[in-house]
Amino acid sequence: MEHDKYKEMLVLYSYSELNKEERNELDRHMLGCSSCKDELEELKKLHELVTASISEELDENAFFESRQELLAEIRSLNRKKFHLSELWDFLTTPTSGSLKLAYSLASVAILFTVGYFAFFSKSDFKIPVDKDLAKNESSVTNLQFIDSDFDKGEVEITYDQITPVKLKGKVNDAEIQKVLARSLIDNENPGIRLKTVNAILSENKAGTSEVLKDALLNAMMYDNNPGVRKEAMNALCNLQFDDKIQDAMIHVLQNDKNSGLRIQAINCLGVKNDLQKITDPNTINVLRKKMQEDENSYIKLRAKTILTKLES
Amino acid sequence: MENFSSLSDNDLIIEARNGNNTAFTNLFYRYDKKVFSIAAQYFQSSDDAKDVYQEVFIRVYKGLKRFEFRSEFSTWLFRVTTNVCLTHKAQYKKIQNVSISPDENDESPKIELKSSEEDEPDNQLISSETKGKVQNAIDSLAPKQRMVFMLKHIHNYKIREIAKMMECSEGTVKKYLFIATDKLRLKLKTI
Repeated sequence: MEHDKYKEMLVLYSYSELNKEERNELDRHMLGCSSCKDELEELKKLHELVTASISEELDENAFFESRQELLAEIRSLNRKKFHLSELWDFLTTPTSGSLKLAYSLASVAILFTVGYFAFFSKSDFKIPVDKDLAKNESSVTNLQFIDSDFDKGEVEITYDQITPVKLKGKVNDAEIQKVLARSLIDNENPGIRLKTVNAILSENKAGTSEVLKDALLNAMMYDNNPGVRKEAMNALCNLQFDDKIQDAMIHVLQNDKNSGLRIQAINCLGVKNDLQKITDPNTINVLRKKMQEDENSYIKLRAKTILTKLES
Repeated sequence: MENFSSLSDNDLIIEARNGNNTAFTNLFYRYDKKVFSIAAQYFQSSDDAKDVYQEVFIRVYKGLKRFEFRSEFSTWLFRVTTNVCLTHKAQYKKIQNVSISPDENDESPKIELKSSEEDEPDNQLISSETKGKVQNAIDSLAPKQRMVFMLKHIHNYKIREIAKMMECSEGTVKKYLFIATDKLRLKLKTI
């Protein structure tokens, strides 16, 4: 029985999970028990065997693909949430005293309208057409046809009506940065995303915030437009290099199908290596792999040059 | 100017709850490699790991509003990860089964896996075969035993951390670890 206790303790001992007292107790026991001593050796061998047999290498491509898919999923969830919350905020949070009256009146009007249609109008229900739609500055997005009978010329639609907000200030302003970062991630128009990157590029490099940097990293790795990815990389290459940027460059080098972008990434890594030698083993491994396997001969050559410089 | 890297997990959660996506992105960038790695090691399949990764972070994203700060965010995240791993039905298998029978007459095909030691074919065959046997032995463990063993052996978590992740007592974790170790020793003693 006593011996069984020590046998279980051996497993914990091999994983350094015993406290000092327990460890001393087991050490003393093993001085006179060759069976436990042998068993500990056996356990150590088992650990070595398992460690050597299980690949701990992460499938970087699959990992980055997962990130990309997750970001896309979150963007899609956000769009849905955004539309609902905007409507909710609009109805529930008047921002100034003068608006409260307007909201109250609007709420009464909505209730009255809903009540009217619920009780008095069952057959000829028609959505009132906003005649001023074309005149005001609101834009219509996310138009969807719920039910349509084109033969009769009837449609039932939903849409989001968004009122533009004007912001003027420096790119360094926190509020503007948030909007730019969001635009870079969420805007569906690649032209706007490109303009956003250019706006960020115009900012003082030393003052680029983490919000914008993350948005640029995201764009460089995951934007589906190569022009946006290129400009984002251009911007990042001019920032102070850190691990995040280096990882992202490696991601592009490994995963981007566009050889022009891979070339830009390896050039950026080369320039950074000239300033400060790359020490990260993962980056060095990827460079070695690129030197041997990349389909583009310039990338192979450039990887070789960087590695030679590293070894010198 | 916001600098997310200097913010704590809890600060990022508060930011993310206020609709700041970049905060959430920063939060999951802190741990997502580990989540992927746990799933990939557990299933030995990148495809299953991708499924688990996606499910974990969508659950976390949706559940962030209900997070009550009673535990560390990372504890909660890895608890979700182990739960999803344990309930996920593996669909893919990267490493193919190799017989672990010590029978010399066993005629089941030996599968050669890719190795960097391409200039040493003999070593490669032996090494691949051994790897297959070890993997098979690990696969034969019950899910919770396998999870505890992987978290302890590969990811070097402390027993108390594993207990938190799996929502069980440290004693239970130890029990799983003893059983897993015993089974592996038995199955691999011929190697």
